[in-house]
Amino acid sequence: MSGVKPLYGMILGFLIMFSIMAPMASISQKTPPPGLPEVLEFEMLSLPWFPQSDKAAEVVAEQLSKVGIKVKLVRLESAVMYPRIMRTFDYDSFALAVSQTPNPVGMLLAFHSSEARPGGSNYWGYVNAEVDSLIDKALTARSESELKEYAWRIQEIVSKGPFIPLFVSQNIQIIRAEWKNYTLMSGGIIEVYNRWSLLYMYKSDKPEENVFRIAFPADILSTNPFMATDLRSLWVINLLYDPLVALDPNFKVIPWLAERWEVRDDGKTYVFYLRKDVRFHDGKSLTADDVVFTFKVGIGNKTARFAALAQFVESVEKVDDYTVMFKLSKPSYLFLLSLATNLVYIVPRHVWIDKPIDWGNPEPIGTGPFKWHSRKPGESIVLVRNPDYFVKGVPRISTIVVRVIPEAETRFLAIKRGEVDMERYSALPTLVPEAQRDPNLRVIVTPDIWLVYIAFNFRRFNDTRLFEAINYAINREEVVKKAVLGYGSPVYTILNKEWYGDLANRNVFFEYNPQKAIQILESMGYKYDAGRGVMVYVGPPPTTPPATKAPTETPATTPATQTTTTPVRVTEAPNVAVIALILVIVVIAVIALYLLRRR
Amino acid sequence: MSREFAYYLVHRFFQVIVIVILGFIAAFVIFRLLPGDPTISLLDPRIPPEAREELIKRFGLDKPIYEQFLLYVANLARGDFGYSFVYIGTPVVEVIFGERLFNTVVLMSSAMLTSAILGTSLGLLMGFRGGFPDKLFTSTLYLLASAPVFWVGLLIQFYLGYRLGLIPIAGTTSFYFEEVPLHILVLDYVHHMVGPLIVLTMFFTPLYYIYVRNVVSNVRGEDFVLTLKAIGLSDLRILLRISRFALIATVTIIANESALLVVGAVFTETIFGWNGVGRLLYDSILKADYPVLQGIFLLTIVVVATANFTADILYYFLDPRIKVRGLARR
Repeated sequence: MSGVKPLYGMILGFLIMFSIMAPMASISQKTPPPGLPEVLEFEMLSLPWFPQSDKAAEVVAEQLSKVGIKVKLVRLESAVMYPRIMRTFDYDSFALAVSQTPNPVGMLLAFHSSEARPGGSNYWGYVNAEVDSLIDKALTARSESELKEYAWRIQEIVSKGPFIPLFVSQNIQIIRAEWKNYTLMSGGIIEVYNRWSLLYMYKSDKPEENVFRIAFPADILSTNPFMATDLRSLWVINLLYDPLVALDPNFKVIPWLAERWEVRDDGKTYVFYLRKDVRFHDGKSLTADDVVFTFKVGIGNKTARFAALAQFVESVEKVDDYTVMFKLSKPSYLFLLSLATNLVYIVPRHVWIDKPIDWGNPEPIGTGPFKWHSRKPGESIVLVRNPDYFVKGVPRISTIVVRVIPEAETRFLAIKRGEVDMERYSALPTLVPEAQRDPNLRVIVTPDIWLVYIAFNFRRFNDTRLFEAINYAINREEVVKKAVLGYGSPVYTILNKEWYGDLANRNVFFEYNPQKAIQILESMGYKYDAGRGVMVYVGPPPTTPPATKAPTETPATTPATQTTTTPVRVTEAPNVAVIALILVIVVIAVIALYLLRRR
Repeated sequence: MSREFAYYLVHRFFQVIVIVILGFIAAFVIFRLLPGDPTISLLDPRIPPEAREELIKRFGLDKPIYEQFLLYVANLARGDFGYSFVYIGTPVVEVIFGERLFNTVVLMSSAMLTSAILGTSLGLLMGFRGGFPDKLFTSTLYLLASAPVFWVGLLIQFYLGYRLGLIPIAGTTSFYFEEVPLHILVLDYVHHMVGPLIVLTMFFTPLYYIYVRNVVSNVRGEDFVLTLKAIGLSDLRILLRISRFALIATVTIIANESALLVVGAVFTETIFGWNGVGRLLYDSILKADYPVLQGIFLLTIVVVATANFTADILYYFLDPRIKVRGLARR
């Protein structure tokens, strides 16, 4: 008797499963045209250790589920995820953050069809002939206003593309209160484009007391100014070396190692006049030879940060000991901007002449405001003031100690205890209230450079109406609130508005409107399937909308819960045959159970 | 030393060498089978493809895997461990065999020594004595063994480090550029080690304790103990006799855990900012830094094989039965 019991269970289980699944089959799913998915179900790749974009992806997934778009988060390590995004294009969508620079070229090129190749920056595979030609024009724009105009026209088009910007986070710096005289810039007080804070900051009038200790989450990877690509290494290199031109606090290009420049031949020739009072840390003077050498090596070896310059520069020549002439292949405003924003540092020729490009550079010698003192790999780096710096009277900091402390909470405790003065990157938003209560600390909030976004694979889904619907279905305010506790601002553009103006009169804005999203999706031929909780393709609706539906039909259970006014029509009436089949099976089952019980 | 023992030693020694070679080949292959692309994980995503090709060629990743292996072995024979992919231009030897290995070995060996002594002696006493104290210690230590290291670490850091200010929050030293006499440097180093040492000792002690306690409380009921008691030996002398069994347990655990000596403890090192191999290993796996990983694994395999070899020799002296069994098989 008891041996029969599992059988009951199995029969019952099958019955339940069948009765649940039967109505599912009732939506007559059709094959959509190429470029559209059958079911609005997407895998979204996300980096678990980057909390901003990972959290944002979570919130977006929840919001999209309300309009019937299912997003499945797949958390992968970068070494696994990046090749899928950048080389094999094996993904539906992903969530990431991109660091914006004051130079729009990188971001714009990411929408050019020539970059939609393995290793190119157009990960999403966006292809649009009009955007291509606009980008080409932007690359040779002759003035900032011309560049901005093209940038806006590009953004108007790509805002309806597979790249969906969510928000730009705010930079939260927690610093010991005794430090004063830092410079606020977009990106925080010590971002690499901000050359000013560390030159002028001090806490005491006694020079030897101005020891600035900063905590990094991980060690720097390289001190090689050609090869370093991570922002930790570049932060250190930035203090040891100088660029030809720099950015002022308003991101305008200003002279630095070059005291002035001339533009000749209708923008085809740039002549830079170097300062004559610049010395390397080993005492040798900086001359035109060093500048020419740096650019020849950097461009010749196709290194990453020289690549953007390489497309403009035809040749670099020495005119005399303190004059360098750049010949451009095409005149462009972007050449000068790229010189300032691409973190291109002048290295001493006499040191590098016999070294390979990927030399470890164990004791860097530059012209920068700080000199190399010592390093313990994985633990600390010490830089000391360069007393012969060409800007007189600075830096006021006597020693910079970079310490590696991997845990965010530990870094915070160390700042509170006074073991370090601040940390390299933005602090966790959750720590802010605690920091504000502490009179020894100061919290500095500035706009950051990280744009958090989600992107879809345009190679798989190329109907822009889909992305428009997704844009309407995302509540960016809520994403900011949940992902970064409000420390960020929603964005709709791919370029940072701190540098490229606000939304005024530009058609790149989506208000949060889930109904509109549903309408768009329905007009594309999708219908909500309550059984599966997701929109499926049923073919485009008739051009004249159906006047009425059968009154017996089940009222729609709307996926967009409270706010929906136009209910989404759900399942069509299940087939009579299916119902009959279920009934027959139930009857058979009941009889079977009864018989089994009697035995 | 008997002839059999000498034969046994030589035999085991060759086994060790074979194990090291096999283990190393396995490690070499497995890292390359792992998903992940070393050229992508360390680069600015916007790097041009030409630059990437350059890197692949520079790393030798365009060659077939057996060729990579032969090249690596050839270089190894000259004492060259290669260059790190991630720390551009830095030899692996410098990355591993510097401060990092020193820090890890110092921390882990003191933690293992402290907990071995503490766990073994406590286990001996409690296993022999039994009763309420035994129950109390056993349950407490089980609790400690199951407490997550990162949580205990944060608590210790917060209360001892931040609230009471007894230990530094993070790092291995407070002197980064100042000139200070050596004895102050050493004291400061030890001071920084207190936090991680407490955490690791709390984590390791139960291992020894539980093992040793069980062995002793089993042995306590054996006939020979009763005999010893009947002869009139004091409890202390009986305990000393029994401790021989406990030592076998201790040696076994130390041999088993010997890998940690050079691999370190990832969580503890991370929380206390202790610059050791554990963190390096973790970062290297994430960034697919093959040369560094191979270096660490080669080191680990050698240490583990050596530790087990040593343990076998120690068993021979500690427990005569092992010798008999070990040689009877042949």
